[in-house]
Amino acid sequence: MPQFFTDDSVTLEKQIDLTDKFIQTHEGDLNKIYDIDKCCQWIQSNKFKKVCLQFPDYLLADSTEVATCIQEKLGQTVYILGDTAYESCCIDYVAAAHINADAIIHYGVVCFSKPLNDIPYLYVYEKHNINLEELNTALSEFSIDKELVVLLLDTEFIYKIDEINTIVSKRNNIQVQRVDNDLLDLDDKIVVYAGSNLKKLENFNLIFKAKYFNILNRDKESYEITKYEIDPKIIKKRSYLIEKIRDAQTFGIVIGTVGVKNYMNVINRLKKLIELNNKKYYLISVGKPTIAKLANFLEIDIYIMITCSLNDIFDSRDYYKPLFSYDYNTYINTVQDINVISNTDVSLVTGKMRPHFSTMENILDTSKQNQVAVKEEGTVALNTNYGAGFLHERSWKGLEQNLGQTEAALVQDGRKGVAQSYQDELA
Amino acid sequence: MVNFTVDEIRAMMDKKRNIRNMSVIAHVDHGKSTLTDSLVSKAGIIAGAKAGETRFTDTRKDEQERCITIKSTAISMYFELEDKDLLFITNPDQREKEEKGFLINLIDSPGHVDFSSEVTAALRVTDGALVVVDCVSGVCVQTETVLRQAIAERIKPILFMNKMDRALLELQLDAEELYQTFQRIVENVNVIIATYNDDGGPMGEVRVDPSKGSVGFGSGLHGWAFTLKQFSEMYAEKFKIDVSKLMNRLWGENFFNPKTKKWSKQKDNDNKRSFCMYILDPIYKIFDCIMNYKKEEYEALLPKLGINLKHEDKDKDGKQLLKVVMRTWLPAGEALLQMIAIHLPSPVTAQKYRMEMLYEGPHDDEAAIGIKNCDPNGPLMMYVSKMVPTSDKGRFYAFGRVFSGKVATGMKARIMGPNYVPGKKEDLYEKAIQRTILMMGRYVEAIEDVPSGNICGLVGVDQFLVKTGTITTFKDAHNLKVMKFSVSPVVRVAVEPKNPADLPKLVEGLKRLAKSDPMVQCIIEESGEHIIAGAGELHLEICLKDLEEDHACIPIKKSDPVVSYRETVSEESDQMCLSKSPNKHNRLFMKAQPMPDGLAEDIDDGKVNPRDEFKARARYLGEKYDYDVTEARKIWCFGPDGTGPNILVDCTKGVQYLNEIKDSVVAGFQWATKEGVLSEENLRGVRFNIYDVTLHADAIHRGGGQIIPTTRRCLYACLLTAQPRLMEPVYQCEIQCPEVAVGGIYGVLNRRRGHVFEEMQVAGTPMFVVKAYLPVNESFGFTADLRSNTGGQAFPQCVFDHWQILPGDPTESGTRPYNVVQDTRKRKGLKEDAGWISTGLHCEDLNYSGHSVLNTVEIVTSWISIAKFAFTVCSLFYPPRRLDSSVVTAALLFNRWCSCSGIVFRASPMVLSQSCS
Repeated sequence: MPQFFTDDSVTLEKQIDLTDKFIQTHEGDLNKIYDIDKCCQWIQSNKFKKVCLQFPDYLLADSTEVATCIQEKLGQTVYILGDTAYESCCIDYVAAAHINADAIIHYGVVCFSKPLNDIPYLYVYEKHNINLEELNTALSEFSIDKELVVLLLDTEFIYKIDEINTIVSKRNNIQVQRVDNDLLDLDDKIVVYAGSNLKKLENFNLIFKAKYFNILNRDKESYEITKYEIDPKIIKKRSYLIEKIRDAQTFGIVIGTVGVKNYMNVINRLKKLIELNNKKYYLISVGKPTIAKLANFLEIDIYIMITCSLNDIFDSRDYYKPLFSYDYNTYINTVQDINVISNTDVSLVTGKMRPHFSTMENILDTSKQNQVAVKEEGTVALNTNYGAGFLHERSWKGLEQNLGQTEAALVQDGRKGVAQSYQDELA
Repeated sequence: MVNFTVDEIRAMMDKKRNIRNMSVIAHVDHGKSTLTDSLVSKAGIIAGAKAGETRFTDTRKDEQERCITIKSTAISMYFELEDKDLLFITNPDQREKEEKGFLINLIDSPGHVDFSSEVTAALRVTDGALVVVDCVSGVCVQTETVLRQAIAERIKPILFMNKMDRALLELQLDAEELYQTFQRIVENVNVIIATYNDDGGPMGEVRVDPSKGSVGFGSGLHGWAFTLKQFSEMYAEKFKIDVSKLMNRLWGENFFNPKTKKWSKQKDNDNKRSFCMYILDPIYKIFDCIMNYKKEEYEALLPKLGINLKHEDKDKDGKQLLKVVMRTWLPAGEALLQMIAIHLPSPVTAQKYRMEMLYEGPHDDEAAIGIKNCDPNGPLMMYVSKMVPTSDKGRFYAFGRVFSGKVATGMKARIMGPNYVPGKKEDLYEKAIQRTILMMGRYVEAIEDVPSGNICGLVGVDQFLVKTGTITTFKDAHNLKVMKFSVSPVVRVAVEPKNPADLPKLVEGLKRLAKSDPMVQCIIEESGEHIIAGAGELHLEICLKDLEEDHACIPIKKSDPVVSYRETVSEESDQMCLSKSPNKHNRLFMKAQPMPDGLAEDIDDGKVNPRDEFKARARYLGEKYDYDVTEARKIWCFGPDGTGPNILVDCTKGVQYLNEIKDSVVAGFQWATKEGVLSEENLRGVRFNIYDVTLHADAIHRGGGQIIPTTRRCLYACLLTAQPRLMEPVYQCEIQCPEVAVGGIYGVLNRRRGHVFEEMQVAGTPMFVVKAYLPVNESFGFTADLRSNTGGQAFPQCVFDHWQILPGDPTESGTRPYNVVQDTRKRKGLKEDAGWISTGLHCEDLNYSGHSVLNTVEIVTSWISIAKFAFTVCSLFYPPRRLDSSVVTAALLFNRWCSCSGIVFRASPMVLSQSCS
């Protein structure tokens, strides 16, 4: 019944976005890269029965080998989790729950979001090459003045922390910190970030009030430490988004994670904020958002996505309405503050006046008379500001029978198949 | 000493027949503000001796410094008319019985084109216009523009010939020449009036006529002026003729023979034109004897003319004496006042015929009737035409005209913005008016209430309106019509704070700026750039200065000015464009084609608009543009923003469920017309036809999510297959200069892609007028360039005229439009070059001629080079690692694809095989 099902080939031939390159590790390096011994030890010492190995897409090529390896060593079955529902940097406890797993071992990039469920988990970090001598020279060039410098190691270099410590210990003014340190405090410090995830660095920049951030550049032969500043484009883009948020009357809260702790609290907070501003919201759960999915809600002005901090901002311009990730919540906050100060405001996007709730309430009184008048005429209320009033604006309001208006015609043989390719078309 | 009090003015406001609301309009530098001084001094607000120099209505510091009016300024004045003059007012609606006082609400407007939105705002709230023309330069482009606007708003004009002192002192014209000059100007003005006004229309005859007294002559700078009425009063006794009869004799082909004392209609050897003889000769004589220091002569002459000089003036000589003498003899204020009171309509007269132009609602509801009768007891209807900054930063007076009812301090009113639709709540606020005030040039005076027919300011309304709006107490009231500007904001600059931390202040400042100017647009683009768009360089310069100094109060960085472009197509799509929805269950078949010439402009002007009755619109389109009437009835929508100059036409026949997806298709159309495929600029002049639609039988599979993005892609494909083009804005540019400088003008224009379409001598002067079209993009620095090439003798006035296709294919690298597109994309932070079409276009979006081979392959590029394209094709068709061996196969594939799909690209497949092998 091709009318009702999508052809398999659509799924098989579907283009996936390959921003990350697949990585295939040499067999001999597997143990070292994936810390297989450490994993086995962790499983054994905790006596886990069902263990899931969670791989991000780009490491899937290695997954079977790693799993086989562990299985051979432990003599028990382990499960591979791939194609994580939302972001592969978070612990996907939901997928693990399908097999009632005891524990998860997570490979690849980590966002350190706390999972909702307290399932035991182990992070196995990536391991990138670092040239210690180059690091040494770069650091010595950088830390000439006596000010204290924090060398912030991202996950991919933590495996080298001891070596790095020995280099650094020769200098008094450099301190090494790991990103997975829960008590990380970078305020008022000069920070040198060693890592490759710029999104992470951007987050640090927003969270901590460090004196300034530097980044260790490893692109060239010799390492170089340069000052890091958030791309002004991002700031500009955000200021546009603030305006958009302030303009929006109807929000779509898109659930972009179900695994991160407190996500429900965040959603509730958002709902409250939106209500406080007397605006409407819809809570939407569509799995990974796509253009087609989100274009289904014509009346939503803006989508806010609740995800972990490492999620990519969806700045594709093909979305019908803009999509923000959660950190834009801060801007709703500002909206609220501003609304309290001044009643109304000009929008720089539309050039129109932005209504404010205190004024809206005022109008409600006046429009009551209006509604009565309208009802006398036998039409439905014209007020479109609440409920499903927007439906009134649409041109199509239901099936049209057009009885007697359409000319009768003989039934003819039409084309067969579905629009993606009819039977009389070449494949 | 001010010779009236606020209380007197308030009392006059109730005598609506004795009110005159008027604006002073003219070309730049023709002397509006200077002339206005005469009236202001007559009202005692400034000293008579200072009149002409103070420019009281130029309230801003930069206006005084630059000697140019930037903002329109209102002032209310009280005058009394003598009994003999009152007799000239015959219409009972023009004068209250037994009342000789008149309230004149005057608005002085800027003359520079860049600020003509201020003129529009001034015209809206007034009923009459004093059109000032420099008699040396004659009727100029801006004179015509503002006059045309006035007529369109049903504003009655009177004419004033200014700068007579220059004609006499500098040009040394003889009397007959001067008469001819005057005559020509009157004719020119009447031609313009006749072009835009129908004499049988509701306003009746509006042409100006010196013999009726609706044309004044004089010098604002020297403070003297007259109409024929003044002179015929002087001579009436002598000739024993009625004043108004004599006025007829003093203009036109009327000659008097002093010997035979006979009037004649023809010029003879011994008779003389009456105007020259009785009016110009005495003036010439005074000029002659004073300027040539013939003391005895003028001392004998002055008492004859009834001029008694004050003691302190007796010692003056030359120009100073001339001023005093002329001012005493023919005081400008008096002549102007008479012209205004006698010839301009009172609100009672004017609102009768203006109501239908002003009110959007039914012409028989309470509000309409209130306006028509100028009824102070009707429902309040007030139009706010602009915002005037207060001394309190960020707050504004809402300045406007009460057309009906009464607006009072503390009263609760409905404030309706331009987007208000009756019955809905958008752009509607109900608030108390905090205070009503009277605008007195640079001062304001609090006033308890203001009845219909008057102009005033409101406090506390500014927070609810951006620029304009309607204020009413009538709950079913519709809006008063939004003003239509003669200029467009086509020049843009991007601004950012020098210190990034000041961004919030900048945003706040931009919002204030948006309010303070009737036309400026302050926009934040999707890339986050803050843009200020204005009419021209000068306008932007003033806006930026205001932003920096008054509104944001922070140092600002600004980009070079750029213009906004429009995207269009030049031919019909060369193939049917097909797009499939993401789930592949729906298909759209469309084509794009250019609109016939003039249709886009008709839509701009509202002659064709979405609110038209569809059958009438279809008939119009059928008659004027040869559109198929059945198709024209099925225009689904206009875009962008539901009103723009692009249309979507349903050309399908018998498609099921079509109405159901209409909202989604319209949404996609609005989106695509707002952000075109080339550089995300608005589209202009494109008609899209939907020819066929295949839809899934199941409603869930043809929802917005499937249709909206698909429509957008399909429209983009239509654009790309229809020879897309860029359009740039073009100024009409009028340059006045002496003959010697004309050559220099041509040189400068040629370098800037401008072309001259008219060149003529201003009759009676050595001046030439060159009219040219000049792309706005080339106009930056034009004024300076022109001056340096003509020794400072040429001064251009540029006003946006039309959009014009930028020649060249924007998809072909190296062409000018290609570069413009790349620059724009770069500025907007879009992907350059290859990113152009990769906005999700599939090759199936580009072609449909039966079957497509590469069903789901994304075309990443379409114009770069065929070889690059082949590379893309194979890299998509084969796993990357097999790429090397597949170049030839790719070429073959491409060959096959081209041959079976109605080639999109103009290069031949042969070229491809060569370049690949």
